[in-house]
Amino acid sequence: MSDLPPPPLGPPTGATPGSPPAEPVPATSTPTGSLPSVPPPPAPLAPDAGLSAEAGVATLIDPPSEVSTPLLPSEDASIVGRRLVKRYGLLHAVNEVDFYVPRGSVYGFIGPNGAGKSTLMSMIASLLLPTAGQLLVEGHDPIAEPAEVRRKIGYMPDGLGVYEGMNVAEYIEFFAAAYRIDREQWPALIENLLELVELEVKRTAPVNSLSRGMKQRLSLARALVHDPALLILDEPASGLDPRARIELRRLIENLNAMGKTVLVSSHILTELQEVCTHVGIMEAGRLLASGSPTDILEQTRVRQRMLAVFDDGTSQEFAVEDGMSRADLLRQLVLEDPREVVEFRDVSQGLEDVFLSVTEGIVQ
Amino acid sequence: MITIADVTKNPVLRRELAERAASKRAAVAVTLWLLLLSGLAILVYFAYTASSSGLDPVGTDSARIGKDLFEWALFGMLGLVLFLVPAFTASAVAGERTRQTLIPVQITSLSPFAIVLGKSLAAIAFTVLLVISAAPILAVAFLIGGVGLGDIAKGLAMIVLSAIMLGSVGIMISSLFKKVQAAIVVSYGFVLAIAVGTFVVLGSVAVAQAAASDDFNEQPSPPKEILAANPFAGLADVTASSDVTFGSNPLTGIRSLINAIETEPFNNGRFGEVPDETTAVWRWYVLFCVLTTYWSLYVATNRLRTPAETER
Repeated sequence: MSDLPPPPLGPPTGATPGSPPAEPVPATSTPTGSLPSVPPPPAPLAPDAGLSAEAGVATLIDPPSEVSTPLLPSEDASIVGRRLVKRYGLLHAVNEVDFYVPRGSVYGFIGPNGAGKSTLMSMIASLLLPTAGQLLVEGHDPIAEPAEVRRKIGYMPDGLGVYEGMNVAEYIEFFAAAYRIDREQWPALIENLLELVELEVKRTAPVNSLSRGMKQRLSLARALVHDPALLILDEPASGLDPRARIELRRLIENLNAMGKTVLVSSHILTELQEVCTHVGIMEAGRLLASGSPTDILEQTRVRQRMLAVFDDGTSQEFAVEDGMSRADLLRQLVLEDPREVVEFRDVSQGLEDVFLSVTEGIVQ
Repeated sequence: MITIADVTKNPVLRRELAERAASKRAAVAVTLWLLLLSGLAILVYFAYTASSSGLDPVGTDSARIGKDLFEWALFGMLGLVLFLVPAFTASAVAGERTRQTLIPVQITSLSPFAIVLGKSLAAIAFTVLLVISAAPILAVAFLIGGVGLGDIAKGLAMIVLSAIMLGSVGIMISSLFKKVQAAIVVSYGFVLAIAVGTFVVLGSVAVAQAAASDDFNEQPSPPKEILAANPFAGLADVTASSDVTFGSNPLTGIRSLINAIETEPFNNGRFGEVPDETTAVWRWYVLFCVLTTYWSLYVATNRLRTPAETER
């Protein structure tokens, strides 16, 4: 017991009347009010907690080298960005972003609206010129070789524009022609794509008669027409009903299983949490953290949060310190707290906690 | 270099034509076009037959009726082309932006020029269809007499050239604006500037020159190059036939104006006089159309080029 860190005990701020007298609050505890049902967001981490504005902006899987050396294509990398900047006048839409998307991963960009996710995706998709920085997409520079990049990527913007007066098959045929795919291949291609996105029965339906979820799947089929290695999906789940979201998630998993790298953005964390192998958290143009969810949880030092309910009716949240387990925490509470623990449960929310920890609610 | 395959296999062109052919608007446009032109031709014909009842119906009067009917029809066709083409083209790119369909096309293997070419050709093709559908009206004028096949060919060619120029300018304007409404306003502003504005400028210059001139009879002509951008002047000049110089239609009036400009000194007393040396305004107009078309397609192509500084 002696080698354990000090017990993160202490009364909640604004505790209910009759709670024990105040004791010193350790810096790492996250005291809450007496209502266990509404845990507040964890406080932003202190600079020494590993996420200072400078050093902790991105926990990269593969830290970038100096800007002066050119980026080299790599077998393992689908996208590599180095000190990528996009400015509109004084506005830094994307600010010195370094990131790395491994081939075969499902990489999720998470961030509030206006964080710079779409701008970053537009640059990757060879639509937008970066103000500064370097970028390699599937081994090609989107500025110098946009045609090569476009052959290897499928891009689905957040808007769901479809042409009027076309049916589903004609819509795909149009894009097959635009990607210069031989006409002989079209029937098989349309059949395979519609089967993949489960729109076979809508083959002759007018495109503008489809539901939002169906249009989303048709857009995905359109982005897959030329069998790209990398799929860029900008807010694919926005506006979808729960069922359509589940179907979309399954579809992303299937595409990933087919060997495709998927870059997907969302401002809703729960949409991505289950499907992503890697996550990048953006806010105000900066990439605050990047890596696999477990890496990020570890590197951002967002601790597991436990809620203890005591016999006097009060409750309190505790962060599980580094080097200690939940059992250690419970043991400390039982042995050292004068109150009796009647309930002890996990209230941490994984990426959501990380997100709240590393972001500050700033949108440019 | 544009190949035939670029045109025939252009998916944007094929899609636009299919969409246009399937739309009710196209059918309504063709119907209205033919109704308006036929109505104009019938009005002109009855106006003449009513006023020339005592004259020889098979001789000079017949030629005059045929010529006037033909020129009124050409004038009407050009007027409708000026009115319709901006409506076809204003939404071509701006509408795709609004409908959020442009980016998926830009991200394909299609070059920005292929997109612009497809859209321009689709608008022009439909206008050519309208022009061809009006051929029977011109055929009636030909049957009445006073009109040569050469005049018909030259007149139609000038209208098609105007349609190509207007279509390209319309696509360029549409590519420059994010909103269709803005593109429509600017497109019609352009039409107004070339069709009416050039006459206003010409008149203003003539008035200024008259004010500066001491002798009314020695007033210099305003520069005819101002009319180089005017489609009606180009049409009137290219169909000027030496056989029949009379007539009462807008094209004859424009021709008189061109003659007056080409006759030095310029004043009202010399209106109607045929100059010794004719300099073809229509050549200037053809040059204007070719340069404007080229420049418009160039600007539109650049505007659609990605990656771009801002999202387009």
